Amino acid sequence: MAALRSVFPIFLLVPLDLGDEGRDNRSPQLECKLKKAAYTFLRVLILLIAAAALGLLVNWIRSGGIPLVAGEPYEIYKDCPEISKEASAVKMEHLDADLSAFSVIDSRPVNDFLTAHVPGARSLPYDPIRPMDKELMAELRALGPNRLLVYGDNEIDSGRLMAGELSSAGLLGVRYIEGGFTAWIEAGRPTESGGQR
Amino acid sequence: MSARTGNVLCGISLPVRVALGIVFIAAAWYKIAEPHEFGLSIASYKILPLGFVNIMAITLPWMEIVVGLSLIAGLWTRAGALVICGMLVMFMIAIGVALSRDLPISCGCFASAEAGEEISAATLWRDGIWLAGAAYVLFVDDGRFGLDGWRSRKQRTG
Repeated sequence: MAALRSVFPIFLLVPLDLGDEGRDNRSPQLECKLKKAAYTFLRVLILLIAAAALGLLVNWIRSGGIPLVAGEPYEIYKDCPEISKEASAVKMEHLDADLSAFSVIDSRPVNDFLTAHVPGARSLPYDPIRPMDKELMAELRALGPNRLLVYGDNEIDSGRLMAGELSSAGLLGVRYIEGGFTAWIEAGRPTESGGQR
Repeated sequence: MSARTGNVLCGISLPVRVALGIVFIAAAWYKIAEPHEFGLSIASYKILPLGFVNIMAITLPWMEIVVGLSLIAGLWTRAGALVICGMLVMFMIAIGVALSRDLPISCGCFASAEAGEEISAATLWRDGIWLAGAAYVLFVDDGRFGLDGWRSRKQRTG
């Protein structure tokens, strides 16, 4: 027990009577410090156990709770999409001023979207190695053909990639703005900032 | 350490521990609201076995909330700071491992708005600065400007 107490201060909380031969010769000051350390470790345990219990309880009660053990692996990555069908590119000069007939999708990172975007656009950041949400695909499909206009950034042309993936997934008449948001800006078209994702 | 020096050191620690508490509570918010998303973030580090991912996603945010409140209130201050040090070391190891494997993942530390930002050396530096703050609180702050201090004063006078 003496060895345990020296390695794990929490055992200082266990009463110990070693007799004269094995008397603990630590100074009262050290004893006091070790006792404080032991109480700190005990409190750490209490904090962690209480928090874990609270988390489990809330997860059990709430409607959107998750199972304690995941039933199937999380879909973290996927192979880069096979773009079997290219979407149609639209040059800025051929794009109408009124885009109300389209559901405009901004495929850039959300921070870029918040800084500035095409008025009325919806932010759906595109990540080629993450699978597109099934519910989202169903929602876009429900819009009907020739309704989707995607734009991204100029460098990696995420608009073209996303539009291609949507087309390959069977959505009809998906278009993307050639040159992405850079082309939109260069054409002097209006922008807006902020807004919901 | 004289009482005056102790007051100064704990006075410096007070804003540090309150800031840390706010950061940890803010970080827990989205993880509690979106447990599946947070589970996905944990899984994307590819460190934990699948069987532990959801347990971690369920309990970790509440640990952040509890220790965040502990630091803000100055109740069991050192225990709270010790847990935060442990969590930050764990986060830094996870981020370091992910960086060494070149995993293109987001940190999963805060709101989903950050989801587009990949982890980087800057993420490690940020956690390192917080770790330094938490270590300062752990070794210096005896909670005298908080409920710990109030309790011990009450015990002495009562």
